[in-house]
Amino acid sequence: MDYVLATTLSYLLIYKYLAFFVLLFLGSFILPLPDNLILLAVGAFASQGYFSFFLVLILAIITTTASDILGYVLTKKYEMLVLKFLHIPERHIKTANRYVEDYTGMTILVTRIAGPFGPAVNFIAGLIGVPWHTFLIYDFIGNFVDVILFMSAGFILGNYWLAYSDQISLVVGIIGTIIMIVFVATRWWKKRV
Amino acid sequence: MKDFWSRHFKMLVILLVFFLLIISTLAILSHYFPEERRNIMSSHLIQVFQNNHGTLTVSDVVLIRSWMTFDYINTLFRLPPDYLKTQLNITDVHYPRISIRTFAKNSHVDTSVFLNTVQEDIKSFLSMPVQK
Repeated sequence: MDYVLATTLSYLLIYKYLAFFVLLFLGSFILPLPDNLILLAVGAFASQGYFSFFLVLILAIITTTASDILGYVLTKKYEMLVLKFLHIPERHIKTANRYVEDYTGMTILVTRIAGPFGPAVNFIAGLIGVPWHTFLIYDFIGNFVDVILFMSAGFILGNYWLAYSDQISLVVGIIGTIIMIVFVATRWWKKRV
Repeated sequence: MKDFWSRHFKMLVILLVFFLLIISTLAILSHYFPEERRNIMSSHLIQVFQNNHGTLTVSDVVLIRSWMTFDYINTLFRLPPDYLKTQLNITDVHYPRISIRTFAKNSHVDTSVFLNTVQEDIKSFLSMPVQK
């Protein structure tokens, strides 16, 4: 198993809710942590009686939304300084910029669930001045769907969640890619017309 | 705020309609096909769910990984809190909230060998006859 994931899971088991909050917050904000796998694992741990399902569900939604809002607010206030300081890859900024401008709501929503562009989208949304209520509503809906989806999957899989974690990541990655392809195709078609 | 609703009204309505469509389809199917619903509820899906949450047995020790803590393993296999501590002569003050990997590293023992030992001890416990 990936060393980062194995270490993350150890910290989750040792420090429980505190580790869950910190890891999810940092993963949603900027660090390349396997957020969805963390949610899957915690859903499974909850089914085994090691966590309280509803407590982690509420904590997850609040944590992910709060970290996304932090990213949004930072660039709204400090603009490009934040992006340079955090060394966000140029290609992530360009991709996110394009989609946030053209498909604000769906981009924010989809990037909560799949793909690595979540943090970049938060920063771009603040930078280009997406209204705060637009950002908040789509962010909350996306986080809600993401948390429910993965935690429920972990809860259902129970003792054998680890055996299916790779397949689930693959399926979500494929769905995210398909959605992005549809967006690109729609954009190309509109330009053509 | 008014501007938000006028611009995003269509998108939010589509999302809401989609969600309601799924719920109402499931409700209608469940109402008009009660036999099928009973079959699904009593069939494979439920059995799989029950299997995934059943008591772990000797054959399930292969699920143990080095990133797991002793505390978690005790919960998973319903072991007495100090069973592994006694069997493995663990004196680390962090027990049971320490991972197998960390403990093996601190004890200068090969992780995979120690993991094997843990699995064997758990197998022995699970193989013991239940005392009434």
